[in-house]
Amino acid sequence: MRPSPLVACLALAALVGCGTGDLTLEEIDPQAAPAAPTWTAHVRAIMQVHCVACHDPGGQAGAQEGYAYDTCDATKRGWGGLVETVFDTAEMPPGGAMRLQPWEELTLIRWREQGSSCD
Amino acid sequence: MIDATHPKTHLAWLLGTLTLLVAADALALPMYGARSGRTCDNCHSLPNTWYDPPEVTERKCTLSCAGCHVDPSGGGLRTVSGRYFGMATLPMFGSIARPLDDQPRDVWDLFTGDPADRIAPSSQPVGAELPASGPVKPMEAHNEDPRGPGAPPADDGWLSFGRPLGHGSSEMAWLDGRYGDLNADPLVQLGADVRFGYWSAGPLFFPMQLDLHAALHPVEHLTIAGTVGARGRTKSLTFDARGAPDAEQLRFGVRELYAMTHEWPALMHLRAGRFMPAFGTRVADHTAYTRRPFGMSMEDPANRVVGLEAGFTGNYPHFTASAFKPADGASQNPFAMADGWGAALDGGWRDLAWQLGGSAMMRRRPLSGGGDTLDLALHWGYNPWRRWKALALTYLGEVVWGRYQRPFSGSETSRLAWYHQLAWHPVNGVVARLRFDSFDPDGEVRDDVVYRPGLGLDWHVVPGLTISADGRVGIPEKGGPGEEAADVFVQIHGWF
Repeated sequence: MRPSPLVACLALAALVGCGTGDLTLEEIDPQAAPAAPTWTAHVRAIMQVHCVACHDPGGQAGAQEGYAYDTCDATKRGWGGLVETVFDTAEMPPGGAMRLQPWEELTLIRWREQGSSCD
Repeated sequence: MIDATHPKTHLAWLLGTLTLLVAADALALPMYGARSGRTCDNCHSLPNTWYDPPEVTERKCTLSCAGCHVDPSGGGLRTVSGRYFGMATLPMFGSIARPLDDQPRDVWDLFTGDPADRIAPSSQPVGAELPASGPVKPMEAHNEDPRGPGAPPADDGWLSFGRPLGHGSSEMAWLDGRYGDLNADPLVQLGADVRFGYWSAGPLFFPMQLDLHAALHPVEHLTIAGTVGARGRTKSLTFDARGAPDAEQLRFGVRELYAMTHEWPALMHLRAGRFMPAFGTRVADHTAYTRRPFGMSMEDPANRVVGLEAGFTGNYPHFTASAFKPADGASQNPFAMADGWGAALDGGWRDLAWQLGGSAMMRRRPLSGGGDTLDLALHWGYNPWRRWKALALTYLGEVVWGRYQRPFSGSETSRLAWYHQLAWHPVNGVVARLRFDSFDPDGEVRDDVVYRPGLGLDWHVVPGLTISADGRVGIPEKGGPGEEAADVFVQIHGWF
């Protein structure tokens, strides 16, 4: 009898860990991120925790045009970079830094979809 | 027939796999605990007469965190035993002299001394032919100054001074000469941890930690201890971790402040105040996935609690239980409490060759304060060094699984983190590490796992100075290793 993928995963996980889910957070629990995110109440804190250490105008990464994420306007200008490196590949934050949690990604995506309010 | 889909089958697989991992000799220690365990006089009051030690329950020594740290759960201010280990055993250069016969420890001595000493760079006193049996020294002999009669009082000046009232009133008291010239039982002890960090992915060089510690030990069995500190950010030191703009963050605050009665048989203690509850293995890596996502990161004041804790941390079983309210991470009042409550249990067995333990923590908080959580941890280790002296390895492992509420909706889900570390101690002052950790932040969401293999090196240059470098590769399940996957993180850590 073939062990189920979950059983195999548990055995493998003892050494390396592995993921189990097969849906997006939007599909599982659409209420897990704010319905109408704003910069001040939701987005700014996420950017501060994950991005601004490097991506502010005083940092090497943020000094490049379009790569600063310290303000609402700067984040809107650099949105294309977020899509590619954060949402598509999770390449950012780089190296061993903590990646965005699923609810954080969903918050940013909704903020963008709803017009990127700077309130 | 085995039903592979049945939860019990899954559990059996998991336990079976874990058993394979821990079955070699049953298993290990946090690496410094292991090394301390091989430095006999860190524990044994008179290593040249250790054939007559006090009963285990009466000893002050332990392989738990309390052996080296004032905080029974580890971290921060060192006990005199911890300072002695850091000054006499740990460093590559400038290690202090021991009061007893000892092998050379500085690295250049390894190449000029007896080759037989080189295989155990922080082992027992050299040439100690410790008898398995022999003349039994009376217990009173343990209260003799190993430096001999007439030795001057040991004192460390303003860092560690005075004597508690009734010093030496019990056989468990620390005695001068026990740790060379260090004050063995100070009334007041001060300390600090200062870290600077360099992160190649920024690249950033920044202040990372500034913690100032103090402990007052007015009488035997009572200590009042505290730490004020700030956490590092790229441009400044701040106290909180709320994600607020830099200018709005608190600059300095009380990390811990508690009164503790301790130094009881089996190293029992009871403390009240603000502290970090005992849960899992407090590895030095503050970014470990088994710590930070589960609210156990040392640098975040919101992870502290205000409550009561009781436990025993002697050799070899240990157990700690606490009940608490979450600390208000946005307040500089050390006893300000947020809404909710929690409880934690941690227990297990720590031996020279192995350790195995488990932890559980439950928190009931409003959703805005982090929500309800239930976290379970299994932590283990194996120290082959104990049996094969040429194999200076220590393996640590931990798995933490937890249920938690998602923000905003409050729906429940799970998270899972693994940690493995193999440490090699080739010569005194150097520890090379091979590590791997992984984190699944939401057990129901796809493509959200991150794997993080890495190599690290700790260089304990001189007493009080350690330089650590870690090369890590973050591999997200979603996109695999990208161009920015690798980084190097360097810490310069000064402590006293």
